[in-house]
Amino acid sequence: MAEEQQTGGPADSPGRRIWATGHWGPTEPEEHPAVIAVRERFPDSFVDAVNFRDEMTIRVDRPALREIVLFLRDESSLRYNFLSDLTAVDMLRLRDNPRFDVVVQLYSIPRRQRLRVKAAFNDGDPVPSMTLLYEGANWLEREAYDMFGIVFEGHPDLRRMLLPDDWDEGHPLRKDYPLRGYREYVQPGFENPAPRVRSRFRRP
Amino acid sequence: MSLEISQGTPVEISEERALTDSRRQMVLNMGPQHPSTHGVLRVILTMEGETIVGCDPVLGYLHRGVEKLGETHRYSQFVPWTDRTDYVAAPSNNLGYILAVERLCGIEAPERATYWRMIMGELARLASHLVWLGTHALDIGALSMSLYCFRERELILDIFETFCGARLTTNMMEMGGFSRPIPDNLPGMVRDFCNIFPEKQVEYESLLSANPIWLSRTRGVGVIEPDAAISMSLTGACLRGSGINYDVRKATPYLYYDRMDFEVPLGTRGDVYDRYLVRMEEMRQSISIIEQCLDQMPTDGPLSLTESPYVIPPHDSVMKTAEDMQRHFIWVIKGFSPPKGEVYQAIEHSKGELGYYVVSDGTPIPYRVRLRTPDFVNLQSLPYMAQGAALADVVALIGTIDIVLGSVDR
Amino acid sequence: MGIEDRFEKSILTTSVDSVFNWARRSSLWWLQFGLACCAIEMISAAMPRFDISERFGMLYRASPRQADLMIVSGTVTKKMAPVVRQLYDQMAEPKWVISMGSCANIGGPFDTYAVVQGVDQVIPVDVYVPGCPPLPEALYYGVLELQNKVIRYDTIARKQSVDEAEAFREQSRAEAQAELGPRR
Repeated sequence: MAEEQQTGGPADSPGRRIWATGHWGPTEPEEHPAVIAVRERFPDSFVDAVNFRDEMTIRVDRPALREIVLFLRDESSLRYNFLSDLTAVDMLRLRDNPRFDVVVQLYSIPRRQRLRVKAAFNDGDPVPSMTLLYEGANWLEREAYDMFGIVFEGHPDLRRMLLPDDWDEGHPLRKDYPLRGYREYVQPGFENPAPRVRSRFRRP
Repeated sequence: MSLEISQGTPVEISEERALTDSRRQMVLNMGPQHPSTHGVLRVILTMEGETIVGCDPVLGYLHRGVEKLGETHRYSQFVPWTDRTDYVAAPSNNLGYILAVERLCGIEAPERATYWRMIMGELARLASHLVWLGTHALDIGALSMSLYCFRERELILDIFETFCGARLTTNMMEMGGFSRPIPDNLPGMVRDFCNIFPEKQVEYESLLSANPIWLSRTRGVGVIEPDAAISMSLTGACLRGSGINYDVRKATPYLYYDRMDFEVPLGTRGDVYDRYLVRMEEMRQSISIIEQCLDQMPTDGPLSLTESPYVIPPHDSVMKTAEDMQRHFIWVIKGFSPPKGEVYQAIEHSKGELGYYVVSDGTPIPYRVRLRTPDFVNLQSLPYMAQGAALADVVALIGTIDIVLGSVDR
Repeated sequence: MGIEDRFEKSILTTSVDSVFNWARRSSLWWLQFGLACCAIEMISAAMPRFDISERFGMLYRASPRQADLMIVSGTVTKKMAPVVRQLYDQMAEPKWVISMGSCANIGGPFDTYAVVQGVDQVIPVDVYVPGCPPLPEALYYGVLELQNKVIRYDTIARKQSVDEAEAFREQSRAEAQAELGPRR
């Protein structure tokens, strides 16, 4: 996946690069302490580790996601105690199966290092919720549910976050959902939506 | 104001009994049109008398589908939308997205452009903090603060307007640097602002810091414990007010923040007053960073990359050479295709950690653009802080988180 | 209600109207109601440098009951549209609406699933101010245009009937639809 490409710019020249200042630990997956520790502790659930632009991504199996993140949080030599972000990606156009990736961005405040953990799963599979480990995951998971329709197992309050409660047009960030949605806004008292000015550009 | 019974089915009750029964709960709706919710936030409060026992923020009244727009437009086309997420600090949003895409492409801007990016980012931080201070003080009752803060904010907006022509939604940054030259009078304007502002800030502090009303409204209100702050993923002043030292500029430096000499202010008690002090000190540090940038900056040099295929060719050479004209044509019509991969770039926004997670599939259109906005995550602390607080404190709590609804709802 | 629609146009009624309209034009109180980015520029317009409140006698009120003018400043989403409509209905007659910024005019850059493409699908609009966001000076221009409109308002003299206005609106809408054709 991480395929380098000839840039031709100053990035190829040796010297300091802004985006490569070691905030993600060693660049070789074999040397990264988190990769080594997770592989040792969870040999069955560990899929692989990818490095791109110095960013380390660990891919794991979905059922063990919570245990692995708990291990990364509580292990004394790793201590990824801060959940930066939790989101999902719809991989519909990139691969057939499984459909979604859940992406957890971790950060260690004492060690000042970042790490990304990804788990792939199919539509309808329950994903273990992170709310027991990080309270901050609560709204992030609600948002992922709202936008992708991912069911987080063990979430205390899984309902729509940004869209209205009675929204019945599906989950907008899925790749098969059109940008303009399925329905136009209909003015109260009218049957049909108002005419709209056409754009010159055709949008997907 | 509606009266509901929290448990069981509704029964007929006399008004007298409703007033005397202290366990009787009342549901109070605040927003989305409320002067103190900083936009269109709606909060559903469950009250027992004057005390809040339940708080449920309802978001999404400004959800515009920015992330979906990012997936349907080319990399360089998405920049204007980043302005409109957090519209009081637009250059910071540009910066985060541009840094993420530059990292994806593996390029970096020239030194002079990087320094100017830092200056614009810090000015945006100051502008955002001034809006926060003005509206926060206005909510608590100090009307005149908003007049003073917006007066100084106009000076920053003048700098933005001189540089790029727009006051609020600047769209000033581009892949590989800046698209516009720096006007000759801009460094002088920034210097003037750095000379004027510290005196003004003393004025604000003399009005607020020892004001008895301000102290009684903010001290001991909305205390966040350090462990809870980390667990709730708070960033920015909400985290540092509780004494946790996490500033993206220091922790994982981007741009040239590792060359700068500045302090990260920390609070001790974690209440509204501490967060106020932290932000006031941050403004002082920002002025110091801007002055250091102006001192260290090379006065001459390119403002944008020229050779890289990811950058639009400069105007002069497009008019003169055939190669650059072709490159320009392709860049405009087709865009550029970064390599396959994914990056997460975090910057210290005025409100906390602003993260852009960009996934590329090798086409000119990003596969996924995720905005980790600081105030969306920080707003989670509102139910935590509001538990057991008085109704009148809710406006102070909403103000102290420093939310901008465009950034919360995206 | 009241004395509206009772008297025909005459010298007396139009003279009284002009006094009323002068007073209304000089003290347009606006609803303090911000939606998005344009709200920041609207606040800037009310703050010391631009000072729209003192120059035009415009005071902002937090309650729609006390407001004459609604400045729709920002993107109207499908979730927010019923609230905007409710606020408009809560305002007392006579009332005016300024649509500020591209988002409120036609949806602006947000042509997405969540956004209403123009606030005029929800409430009637008197003045459109273009820009993304409009400068405070542009808002000034919109307010001046609105004042020109307010001065022609008939209170005592009989107004155009509501049915007539509604029929005209539907007819112009049908014409626009025929011209643009159905949505792709």
